[in-house]
Amino acid sequence: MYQTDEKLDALELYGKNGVIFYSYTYTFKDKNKEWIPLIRWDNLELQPHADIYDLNRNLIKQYITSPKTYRDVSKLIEIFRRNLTTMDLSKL
Amino acid sequence: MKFIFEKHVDEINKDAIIKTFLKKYKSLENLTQKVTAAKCKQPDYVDDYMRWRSIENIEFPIIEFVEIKGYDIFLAITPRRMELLEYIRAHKPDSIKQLAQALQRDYKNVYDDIKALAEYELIEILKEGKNKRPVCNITAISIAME
Repeated sequence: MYQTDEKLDALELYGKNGVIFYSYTYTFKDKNKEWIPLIRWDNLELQPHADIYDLNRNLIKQYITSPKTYRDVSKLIEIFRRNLTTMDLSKL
Repeated sequence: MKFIFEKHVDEINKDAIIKTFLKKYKSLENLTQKVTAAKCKQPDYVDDYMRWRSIENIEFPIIEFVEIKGYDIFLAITPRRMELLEYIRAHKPDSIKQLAQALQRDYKNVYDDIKALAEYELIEILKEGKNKRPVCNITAISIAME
């Protein structure tokens, strides 16, 4: 059984040709019932990338990635969960 | 086990959401400056900025998925709270007070239920002056076994 809840927040904004902006943020709930972001994939400024945060919400690492969809990220989280924070996200 | 829900922002909520952003950031220009300065260091700013820009021209949809893994959420979704969720979606009350009156329930109990649902983003609470307006943008809820 999981000790804490984990959450994937997905935001997709659409234009004429489909998704123009996405963000997929993997968070977990800490002891104070706050949702803490761990990893986030987005395409801000048309640059698909992933950001990794520490437990104090500080950005600690960034990877250039291929464009992601909600399904891609959901699958990655399902397989790797928190191990993703120690992996080379540019290769996934 | 995953609890998944999908949210669509529609015209009805557009003004209320913009009002919330105005209260939080004063103006879109202010938020633009914050995003330019902080970028990925403040992901919440980025999402609000993109939502705000998109909501101004809601010709195209804003779709959000929330996927929750774990079991705590089942403590939040009691039958009474699900009923509340459906009522809010169908009747779009202007405030929690109005909602409590319509359901002939005690304000504090309704407020506590709303707060529990908001913790999992099943409901958003929009502040409009003295009122707190509960909004439910959810269009689908599903539970998936892995």
